[in-house]
Amino acid sequence: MSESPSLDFPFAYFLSFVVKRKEKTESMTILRIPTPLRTYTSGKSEVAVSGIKISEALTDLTTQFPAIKPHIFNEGNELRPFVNLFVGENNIKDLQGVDTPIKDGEKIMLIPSIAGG
Amino acid sequence: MIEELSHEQILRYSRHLLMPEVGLQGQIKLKNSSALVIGTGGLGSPVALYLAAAGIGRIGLVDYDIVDSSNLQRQVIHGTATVGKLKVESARERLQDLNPDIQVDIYNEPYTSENALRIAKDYDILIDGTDNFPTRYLTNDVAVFLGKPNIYGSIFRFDGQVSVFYAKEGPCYRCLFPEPPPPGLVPSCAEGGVFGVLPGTIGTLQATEALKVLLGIGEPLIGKLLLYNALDVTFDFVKLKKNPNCRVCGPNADIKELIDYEEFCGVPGHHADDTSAGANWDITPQELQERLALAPNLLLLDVREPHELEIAAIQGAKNIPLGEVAQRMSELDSAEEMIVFCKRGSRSARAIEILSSAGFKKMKNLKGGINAWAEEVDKSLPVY
Repeated sequence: MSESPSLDFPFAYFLSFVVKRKEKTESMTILRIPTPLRTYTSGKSEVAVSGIKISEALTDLTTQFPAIKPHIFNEGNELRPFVNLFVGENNIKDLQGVDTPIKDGEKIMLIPSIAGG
Repeated sequence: MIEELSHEQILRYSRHLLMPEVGLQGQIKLKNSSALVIGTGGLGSPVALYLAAAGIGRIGLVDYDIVDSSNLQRQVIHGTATVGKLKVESARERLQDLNPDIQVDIYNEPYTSENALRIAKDYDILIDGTDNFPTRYLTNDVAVFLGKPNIYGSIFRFDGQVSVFYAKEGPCYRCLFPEPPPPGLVPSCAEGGVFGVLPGTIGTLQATEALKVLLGIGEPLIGKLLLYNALDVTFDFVKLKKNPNCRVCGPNADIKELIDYEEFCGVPGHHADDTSAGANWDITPQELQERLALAPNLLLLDVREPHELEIAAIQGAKNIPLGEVAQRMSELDSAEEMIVFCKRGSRSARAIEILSSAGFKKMKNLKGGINAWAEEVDKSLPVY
């Protein structure tokens, strides 16, 4: 398992360059992990993933953190209906689903269902 | 009948009247409007306080609970003096003190499919300050069926979400979340905790959106979701679109009336934290005490987070946090009987589900968790 770069301050500024440079060659993208799922990403709030489209980025995520897989995909390897993935400002459901391409510098966000009040 | 403002009211609301976006006409509009606040907890507290202060003419409060001292870390509408009182009465007292001009209607009952339409129909806007998935889906569907805006806010630990779901002009809650997550995936605040000021931030944003919608000013959060993280200080906005397949507001909607939301979500909507793994699995604190007297080496499995052990612990218990149970079950012997516990019984119920599907059979769930153990058996332990 490859160790993904941590974006913890104070390395964030330095790493932003590393990630940007990598984007050119390997399309590294930042995937934001919501609090309820951080249990499965060793507490990381952001994970650097590679891939030129969402499906590849998710494969990279679940390779780095296999424990998160059942929370995102069902048994048939389809995205679970309560999982909302946004690339930039847009829901991938409004784009091309998991085939949505990731543009340079775009962030992916996993938006959780939370119910506390 | 359009009501005017008295001299006292003109003084009270003078800071509003000075602003052209509100002004005298806007303040009269607020006086003639009504809002239903569903839940008088962490979110409902700031929402109701600010709406009352702003002069919303009629505020409805729905809650069935009683003020508990563990509420006061965030539920600022209540106070030490009202611990043990009905939440709706405690909240009404505070609102009437803040603004005696307004009318506060209270509904001391759980918000359910049976009463929700009746309660909500006479209010201009609905404000979702609930704390569980069934009541959130109910609140959404009621708003869609009655054609009213649903001012949504939701929190978990350091994360908050805000939106205005208004099916007439944009998406509804179900457009974004067609289905709830499976039971047990997202812990409640009673299990997972919540940063006390967070509902203040989110509830205040809900109150802001409610006032904007009622006044018809600015850009309400329709078709947008605001995501706030208090630790990272991030505010992110994403665009929400109407889902053409939405089962309540889409063109081919097949849900035309309120349903059984507890069944839909697979979890109870009320007293959701008192979940058990099912009567067959339960063991009461007294029964456990008797068992331990005969078998002191009985395996106790504590599935709480390690930092919770500092608050209260049962000596000799093995700690595997719920999130690690699936990976670490090899440390457990399925032939050996064990008692699983957490804070109140719901995480341990989930752990039993996980272990049971892996073939473990000899398990019991401590009913009411370590809190019940502290209340009924070992009074030296604190309840939290």
